[in-house]
Amino acid sequence: MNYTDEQIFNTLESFFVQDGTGREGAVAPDTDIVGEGLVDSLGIFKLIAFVEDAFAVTIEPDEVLLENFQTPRALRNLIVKKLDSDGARHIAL
Amino acid sequence: MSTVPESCDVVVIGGGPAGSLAATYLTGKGYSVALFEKEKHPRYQVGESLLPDVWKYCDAAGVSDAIAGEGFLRKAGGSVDWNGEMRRLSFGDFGYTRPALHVERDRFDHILLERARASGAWVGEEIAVLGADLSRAEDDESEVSVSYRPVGESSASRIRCRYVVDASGQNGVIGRQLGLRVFDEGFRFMSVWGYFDDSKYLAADGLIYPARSVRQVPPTTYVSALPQGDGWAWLWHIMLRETTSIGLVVPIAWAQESKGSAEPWEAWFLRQCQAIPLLQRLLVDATFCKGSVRLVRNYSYKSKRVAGPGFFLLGDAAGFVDPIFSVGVVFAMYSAYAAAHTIDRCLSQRARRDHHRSIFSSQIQSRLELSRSLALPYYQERDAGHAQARQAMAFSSMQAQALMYAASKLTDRSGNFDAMADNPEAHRAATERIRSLDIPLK
Repeated sequence: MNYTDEQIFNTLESFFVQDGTGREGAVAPDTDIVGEGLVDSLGIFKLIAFVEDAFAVTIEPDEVLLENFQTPRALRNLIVKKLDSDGARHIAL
Repeated sequence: MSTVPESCDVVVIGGGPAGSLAATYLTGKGYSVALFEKEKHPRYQVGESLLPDVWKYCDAAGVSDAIAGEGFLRKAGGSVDWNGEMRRLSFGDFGYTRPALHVERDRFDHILLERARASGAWVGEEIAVLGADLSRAEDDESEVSVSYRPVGESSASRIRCRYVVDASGQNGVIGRQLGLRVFDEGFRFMSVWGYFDDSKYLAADGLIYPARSVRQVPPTTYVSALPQGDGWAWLWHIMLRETTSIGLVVPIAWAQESKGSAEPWEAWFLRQCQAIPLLQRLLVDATFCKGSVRLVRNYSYKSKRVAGPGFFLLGDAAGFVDPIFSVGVVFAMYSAYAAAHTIDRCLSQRARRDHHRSIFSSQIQSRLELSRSLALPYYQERDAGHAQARQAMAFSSMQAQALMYAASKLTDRSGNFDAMADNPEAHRAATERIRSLDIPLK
């Protein structure tokens, strides 16, 4: 499956809207989702599950780090790395 | 009580906060749950000081209104006397809008258990769980068999399930069966505690108030180092609605040296209380509740594994550290949430259950390591522990981080925490919010 950056960011934003922690349009690629409290120690479980299911990737325990989850862009980079290593191709726009 | 079911999705061992919330979260996700509690609620439990973080877990379980309606005492913050360094902090200064609580745990735990029952979990009290057969947990059937025995009966029975959740507290039924518990050999502590009526207390303004004011002027939890305790022996003072919980946490060796061979623990306990000038001021009109003294040994442990084929360990069954920063109930609730989430993932994606369990284990162990770094002296796996603790810290809110940083500055025992806590913003927020406590100690 191929994804554009826009698709990835929209998908991630939809998580926060569905979850009730973020309003539509409130989560930009560089929003500090941890610092702003959109993800905390509970939300991280839901976010991991969401990303794994939405993009069919597996996030390893040692990848659950601030550097991979602090912003949608950091998460996008992790997802792209996963997709590439899984043999899928990501289209950068 | 209705008949014990023959099978269910998840068996929960223990009806404390971890077990009751795990049961409630799991029934909410549509799973059938049987919860076994060996005592009859309401039952006595120590550990009365709760941080404001408990509310988000109570919200998720739909039990916040019942907790708020009970009228537990609001706790305003902490007052700490650490070898003459007297400081205080107020939760309000950290931006917390919902209160910390001082709760009678028999009542608090009962409300949570009733919530589990109302949510549709089958709840059996006065039933002891003896162990679990996990040998077929990873088969296609994924069948676990848990043996239990009602109190007073001689024969055991079995219930089939897909997962067993061990929330049995210090008993650690499954952890003990599997030999998972590891005690901190360098940290052999014990706790001795009892109750006093009509104790005065410290409020967040740094002043002393009489017991009768406790509903109007919220108390702080007062913590003091013990004289000659080398910074490792300490005391808690927790106001409740009708009484006051006062307890000591001390190295076992120190307690044995300072206790006369014929001296009862109660007399030793009272003697220690008398050695603390500020506590003496608070207890000047107080009455000791005779016969209220209890003790626990072997105070600090973790688990080699907190999950495996067919089982999850929660709360005190997973690990326990010195309770100086009141994280026990919050950790219990956090692990309940994590376990319910993970069991749901495992049951809906069976091919990936090892992976889902590994996320649970990593998060739980990190969280425990963070608590250990705050409360324990040097421990062997320092570097690995720090990496885990840092991971847990990263996903804590700035509020919670600032509070942890502040807690670490109130005593001189958080060297492990200091070595890995490198967030300048949290440092600054914590430092700004610590106030001095000026009480003349005459």
